[in-house]
Parts: sequence; structure tokens; C-alpha cells
Amino acid sequence: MFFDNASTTKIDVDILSASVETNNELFYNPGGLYSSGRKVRGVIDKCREDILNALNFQGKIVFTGSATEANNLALFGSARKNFKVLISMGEHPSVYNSALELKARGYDVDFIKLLPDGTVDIGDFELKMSKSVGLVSIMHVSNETGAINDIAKLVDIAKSVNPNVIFHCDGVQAVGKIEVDLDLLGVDMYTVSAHKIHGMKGVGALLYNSRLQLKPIVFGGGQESGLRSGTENLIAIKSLSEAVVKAVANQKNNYNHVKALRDRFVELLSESVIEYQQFSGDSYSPYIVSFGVKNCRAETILNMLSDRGVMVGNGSACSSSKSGNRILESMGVAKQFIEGNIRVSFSKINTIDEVEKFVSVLLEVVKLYLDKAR
Amino acid sequence: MQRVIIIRYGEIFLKGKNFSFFENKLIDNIMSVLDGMECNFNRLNKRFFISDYEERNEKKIIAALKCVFGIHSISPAIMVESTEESINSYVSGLKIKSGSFRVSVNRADKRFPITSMEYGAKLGGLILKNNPGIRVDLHNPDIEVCVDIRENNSTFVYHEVIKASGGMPVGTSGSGLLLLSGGIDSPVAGYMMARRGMPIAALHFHSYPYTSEDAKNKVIDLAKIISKYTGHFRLYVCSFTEIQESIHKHCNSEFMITIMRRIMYRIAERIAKDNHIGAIITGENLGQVASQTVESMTCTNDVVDDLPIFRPLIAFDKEDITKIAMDIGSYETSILPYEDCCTVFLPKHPVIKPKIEKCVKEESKLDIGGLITSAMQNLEIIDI
Repeated sequence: MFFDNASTTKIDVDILSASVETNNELFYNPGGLYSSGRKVRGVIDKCREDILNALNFQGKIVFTGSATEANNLALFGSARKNFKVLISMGEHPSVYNSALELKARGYDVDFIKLLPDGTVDIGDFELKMSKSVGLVSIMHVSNETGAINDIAKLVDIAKSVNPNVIFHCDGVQAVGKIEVDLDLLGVDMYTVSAHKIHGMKGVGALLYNSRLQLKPIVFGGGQESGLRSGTENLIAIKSLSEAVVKAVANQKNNYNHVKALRDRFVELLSESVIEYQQFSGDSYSPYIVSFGVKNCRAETILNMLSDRGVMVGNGSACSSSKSGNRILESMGVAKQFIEGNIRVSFSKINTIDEVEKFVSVLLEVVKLYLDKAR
Repeated sequence: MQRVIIIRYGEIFLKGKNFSFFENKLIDNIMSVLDGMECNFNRLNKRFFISDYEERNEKKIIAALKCVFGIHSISPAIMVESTEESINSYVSGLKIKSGSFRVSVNRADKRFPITSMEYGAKLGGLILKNNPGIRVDLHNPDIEVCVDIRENNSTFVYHEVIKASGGMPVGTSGSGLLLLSGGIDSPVAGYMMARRGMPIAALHFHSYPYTSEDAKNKVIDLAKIISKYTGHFRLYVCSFTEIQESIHKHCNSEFMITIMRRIMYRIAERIAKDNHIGAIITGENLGQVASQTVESMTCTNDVVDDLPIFRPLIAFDKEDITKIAMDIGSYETSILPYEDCCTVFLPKHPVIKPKIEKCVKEESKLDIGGLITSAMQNLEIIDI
């Protein structure tokens, strides 16, 4: 039983075969001047168009080797030393560590606090958002807690203070999972990934406003309008486009299915004797449930679950006793719950039956742990 | 004329009648690291050299030799016939672009007709003639061209002396069982004892599911890193889960670590004796953590009846240990963030100055014999 779908998902066989077929047919280099090369370019451009349409974004798109790379491009490609960069404390390491690197290189970087429900503290954002802030990066859905940030509102606040501010949003855990209309959100840059929505690993993309003057972070032959050199990976790009289109088209159905899984899971957990704290509030994605079992070490629980055939993630809480958990600590979670942080993440493939079995195994191992280790 | 790699040995020089035992062991160990590489091993008086290899493999061979204890230094060289004509011909063709140089001649073969000083000056003249932009500096040259005229009608010309690991050939001393955790210190302790010629085996305690498979795999990786220096060895992996749970349940939590370690040493001694291993090696370092006080070590020594316990890092600063770990290539693996069994069930206030009597009293609450027998029955053996 796989409940670590926020880390990756099983590839959709239809998406895979469509991607492989396209690649078999058109293995040519899209940079070639021969007609077959042009055909490949045509397919890649169609992929761009499909993704932009699916997410309703009036702008451009650059394909990258991963969402991590897209987030790096968003930050390093748009940050300038003459303005301030503002990111939330809840960001994925690909944004957070990029921001730390910017800071180390002498950029002015500040961090926005989180509320106990895992969303960005809008009050703190308003306080820190000034005319000198030129780049903001706030994720749409937290990969740790599933908390959904009100991006439209945050963009409004940012633009009302500085109309020229560039607003980047990491949408990796949002696309195809919750409703995403980038025109309504008003962001300038948005990151997507394929393998979180049943596409291939090794491909991501950054959607960006045409007015932006992004600087590349990868140099070479000038592919992707000079923003991402390297021969375009048609098979992966096709899988990203297919995955986004399919996930967006089925978003509501999948959402309802996953919401039922999540509700059943939370219901069973709340009826159990386990002492735990759930790390989410009113605004959450049902795809992720994060909670801390009191006085338990998550690593041990995960090992015990793994022995019983259940795969669950613990996010960046890995070895939390040593390095701490930046996000949960920022939310003000007590240490006794942080160490026992478990992240359960669903996909459309999971079933209610699996959820029920999972909870029963979870109860068994927590009881075993508490009997032996406490 | 051919490319060769000169191998010089260090301390075993000092050996007397048993010199050949040390030299043969060193040769065995060299042959072992060169196993699978196409090349020939050659023996000279107080020197070895490697010949008949493809030039592209030279760096790989040198890297392997650098890990062999007992080798003092290594030089990639050109071997020519020991005639003036051959040596002159090769040396005069040397290209030195800029800077200063000197020529040092060593005549191990005293039959060679010119004295070392005279011949050095002559060769220097030949080099200068063909490399007009450079100058001679006898005291602090940028490049020292060494000409070593050996007894077997062979002369080595080289300019680079690469420092190797030194120490004594592994296998020239009694053996030791290294208590190998996933940390920085214990791989270094194993390395240091092997450097004194001690063949090692290792023992790792893990506490699945309290520690992960990754933690165990990390230790296997560390063992592989040390084996580059020690040669192949046996890693014993002992499940400590039941023992830890039992101590946790029955004993005063302050004594958790001390009793754990006393049981670890008992198991280590049992394994050592069963496998004819003569000593126990640990990475303990005085004062580093609560279990590494004089009193704690007294309590752990107490349970080992017959074997010496070697703690080669006892007086090192952490910084020095870290530097060795970096040099031998274990550091990057050691710092991977997996818990080891010593950090599981860690009491808030471990006893720093335990007394043997109190340990014995706490242990009376446990079925130590049964726990150890059960752990020994489930011992996993991995040949590294």
C-alpha cells in the first residue's frame, strides 16, 4: 500500500505509452533544420499550448529537468540585488535552499512566518511586503502539511504595495489536485511537475509572464528561448503535458475520491486511542494529511509500517531529532509531536479499503511501539 | 625505455631477521589491491616497481597502492637501461617549460663509472641546453629530476614522489574486532589499527525498526571504504533491538547507555574468541560523550575478561579525527543523517560516572545470558 503520493506517483500507462509513441515516431533533434526536426518542435509547442490552456495562463513556459530546477530558475533567474526577495518559511527545499543561497551571495532575503494551520501568516506578509520587495515566492499547496495558501489574496496584497513585484508560486502539489486557474491567481511565475500527477520523473516546467526578463541558470545551445539549454526531452515533455491535461480534466472527480479517502482516514484516526496532533486547518488539500503521534519517533513507525507493507512518507521531518523540522517548528508545533511526524499522501489510485487496512496497521504499530519503547 | 611505478617501503626497513616476513606480507597486500589490473610486479633490493601496464591505468594503480599500509612513497617513473647513452638520451629530451630545476643522481649500483655529483651536473647541462628558458636551483628547485641507478642494469628517472599511507603491512600483527558504528570515529579507529598491521573484523549493532535499513547500509558502505586500506574483512551485524527494549523496560534509565555498552562488549568478546580474534577496537575518545569517561570505560572494561581493548583515538581532538576521516574518505558517509542504535532510547540524564557495583545491580534485573545467546543466534555475517 503506497501512501507517499506527495513524493511521487505511479506513472499512468496511457500517459507513458503516448509519450513513448511520440518519441519513437519523432526521435529527431528539435533543433534540426530538416523537416522532422520542425515536427518535433511542433509537438513540443503543442505541449506548451496544452499546459498553458489547462492552467489558463497567458504567458510562456520553459521546460526543465525537474520542478526543483524550475524553482531554481524562478529564483535565480529573476532575483536582482537592487530589490528584496521574500519567501515563506513553508517552502519546499528547492525554493528555501535557493533563497538561502541567494542570501549567501549577498541578496536581501527575508522569510514570512507560518500560522499554526500551515498557511502563510498574511499579517506577517503585509508587514514585510514593501516597495523594495521585487520578488515573492509562496507555494500554492504545502508539500509537508497540505495547507492551501490563498495565492490570489497574497498576489493582491503584493501588487497593491509594489505593482512591479514578481510573484512566483510553486504549484507542484496543486496542479490537477485542486482547482488551478492562473489567470484568477494573478501570479507571474508558476512551477509544475509531472511525476506528482502520474507523469514521468525528470521533467518540470516554469510558466512565466512574457514581460519578465529571466536570466538562465543553464548555459549552452540556447534551447527553450535561451532559458534552458540542452536538447529538449520530448518523451518527458510529452508526459508532462499529458499528465497536466489529464489531471486537470479529471480534477473534480479525483478530488472527490481523494477527499473521501482523506475523510475516512481522519475519521478512523480520531476514533482511535492514538494521541496525535493533526497539522492542518480549514484550508487544506485532501491529498496530504500530516500529523504527529505524541512521543513517537516517526522513523521507527515508518520502518514498522514498511515491514507490514505500508509505504508512508515523513517529509523533511527525516531525522527530525537532529536537524529539526523547519516547517513544523515555524508553525509552532511542540517537539513531542514533531518527532512523530508522519505524512500520509493519497492519489486517485488509493481505495477506501486500503485506507481502512492502513489505519488498522498504524494502530497496531503505534501500540507496539508505545508498549516497548515508552 | 618504459613507464614504471616505483614503490618504496617505510618502517619495515628497520626489521631484522624477520624482515622477509614483513616484506612478503607487503607483497601479498600489493598483489591483492592490484588483482584484476593488468600489470607486472617486480622486486628489487629495498624497492618494488610495477611495469607493463597501460598508461591510462597509471593513476588507478597509484591510487590503489596509496592505500596499502607499509608503502612509504610512490613515484611514476621512466625506466631506462643503466648506460650513459640511454640515460643521457632520455634526460636530454625532458621538456621543462619554466622555473627552476636540479638533478639528483643516486648510484645504488656503484659500478656506474661516474660519481653521482659529476653525473648530476652533466645531466643538468643537457637539460639546460634543450630548455633554455629555465634555470638551475640546487637548494629550492621547482622540479627535482631524480635519476636512480639501480643494481639490475635499470635506471629510474622521475620527478614526483607521492606520499603513501605508511605504517605496517596489514597481517603482520594480531587481529582485532572493531566496534563499528555509523559515526565518524570508529572507521578511523579501524583504519589506525590496520595501519599498525592489524587485520580487522568489524561488529555493528543495529536496532531495527528503531534504526533504519539505511543506517545498516551506511555501515556496510563505511566498511567498504575501510576495506580499501585493510583488505577484505568480515562484518558481523548484531540485532540489538531486544536487548535495548529489555534494558529500557527493566533498568534505571540513567544506566541505559552503560549497560548497553557492557552487553556490546560481552558480545564482542564472544565473537572475537569464537573467531580467534585477539583484541577489541573501539573509536572511543576521552570525554567526547557521557559513555566515554574514565569511569564509563572502567565499567565496560570490567566485562571483558581476556582480551585487550584498543582505543587508538582516546587522546585525539575531534578535529584531528575528522581530518583523518576526510583523508581516508569515510567522512562523507559518516555524516549521513541516520540514527544509530546509541541514540535510540537515549536517556535525558545518562550517568557520567557509573560504578561497577551499580551496573551489576541493574543488570541483575535482566536475563543477560539469554539476551546474548539470542543475539548471537541471529548474527548476520557480511563479507566485505
